[in-house]
Amino acid sequence: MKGFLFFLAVGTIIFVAQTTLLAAPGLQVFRYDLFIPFVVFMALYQPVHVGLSLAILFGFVMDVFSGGVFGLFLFTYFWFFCLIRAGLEFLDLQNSILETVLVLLGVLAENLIVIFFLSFFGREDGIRFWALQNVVVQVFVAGVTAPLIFLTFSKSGKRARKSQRDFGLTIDE
Amino acid sequence: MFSRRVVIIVAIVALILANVVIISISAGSQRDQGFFQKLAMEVLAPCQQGMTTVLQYVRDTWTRYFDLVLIGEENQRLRTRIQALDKRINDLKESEIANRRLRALLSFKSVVSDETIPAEVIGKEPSRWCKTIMINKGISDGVQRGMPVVSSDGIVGQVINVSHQYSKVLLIIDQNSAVDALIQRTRSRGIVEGLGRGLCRFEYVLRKADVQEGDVVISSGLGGIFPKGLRCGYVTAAVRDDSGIFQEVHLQPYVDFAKLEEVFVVMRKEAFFADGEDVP
Repeated sequence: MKGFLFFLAVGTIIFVAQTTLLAAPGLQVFRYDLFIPFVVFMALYQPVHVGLSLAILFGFVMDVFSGGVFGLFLFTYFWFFCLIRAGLEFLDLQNSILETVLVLLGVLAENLIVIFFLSFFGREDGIRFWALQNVVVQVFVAGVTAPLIFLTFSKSGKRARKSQRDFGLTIDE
Repeated sequence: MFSRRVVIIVAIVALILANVVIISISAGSQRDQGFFQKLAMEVLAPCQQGMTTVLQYVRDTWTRYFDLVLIGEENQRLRTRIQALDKRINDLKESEIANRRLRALLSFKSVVSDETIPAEVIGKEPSRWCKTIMINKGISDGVQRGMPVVSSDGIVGQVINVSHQYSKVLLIIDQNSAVDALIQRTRSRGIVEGLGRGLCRFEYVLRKADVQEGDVVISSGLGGIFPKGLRCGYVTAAVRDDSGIFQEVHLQPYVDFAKLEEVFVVMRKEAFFADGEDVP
């Protein structure tokens, strides 16, 4: 329960930052969906019940606050989480290079899904140059920042677990 | 002849008298100091001076230490005061900017005949592909789905989701947004549609219509959602192909969506949508 609450707080911070601080004019250009590394981290290093429930919860939240097709983020996170968990059965994905690769794939996949749905339900006639540019920037920024984000997640997670031990609390892992 | 005791008494009295006489004589004269006096002064004065200097140094050090402590405290106090003043200056600047903005909004309110309620933008779209904002007014304030949202610069968008205290607004630059509009100068009609990247397109404008760069596009009021006469944007380019019945017109919205802080929700009763009906 403590692990769940900790990453619930982390996810909430990501969401708030993504819709306020990172949506500022200067930073907006470099913004990508920070829930992708979050979901990858959840899938790789957290128990299924914690990771999956948080992926679904924040997917839902993103859909509620986004102007896109409802369910887009919810199902993207859900399937992304499930695919990574399934991949863990066959591959050793828990290393820093593959973590980054997974984030890049996640960002790319999410963007393609969004573009597909926008083209399908919206008026955009297929992928245009600006959309392509948008995706390239996001993937590049994700590639640069993903290792740092993973480091932050794992450090803060360890610190939280240490605090739990220091205070004599049970560890939920 | 005299006893020893008498001699001592006489000697003491004589010495006292001699002292009195010498003191009286020296008090009455202003003679130069003698050699020994000068010598004594020359020898002892530097020692005095040295001691005085040391004492002065100690006293100065002691005083400076306390002065420094006091100055440090005063410095801290002044820094705190400067910070408070800086904050106040910043608050005043913010108030001034807010004042200008609110004045513009108030003057704008006279343009819109319908009742409007002000709202603050509290959040933006979490994804980069859609264009929405969150405002701090909801059902409890009378806001309903489908209501138009405007600012002093022009049309902002339309309420697409409402909760008790908050609402989600689809901006006119979103790809799913459409506003029935006309060119102010020529009254040529069309539909303003969002392009999803901060710009709009003025669609379905007849090829023969006179459209020029810089033309102002305003809401026609015919869509039943936005009041008539609100500015949507200005024409940045009008392209006429050799074929086709429409021309391609690009618009730059007047509203700076990146810096949007306050908006007005227009409480238009006729703008409501039935549940489940799509927002155009």
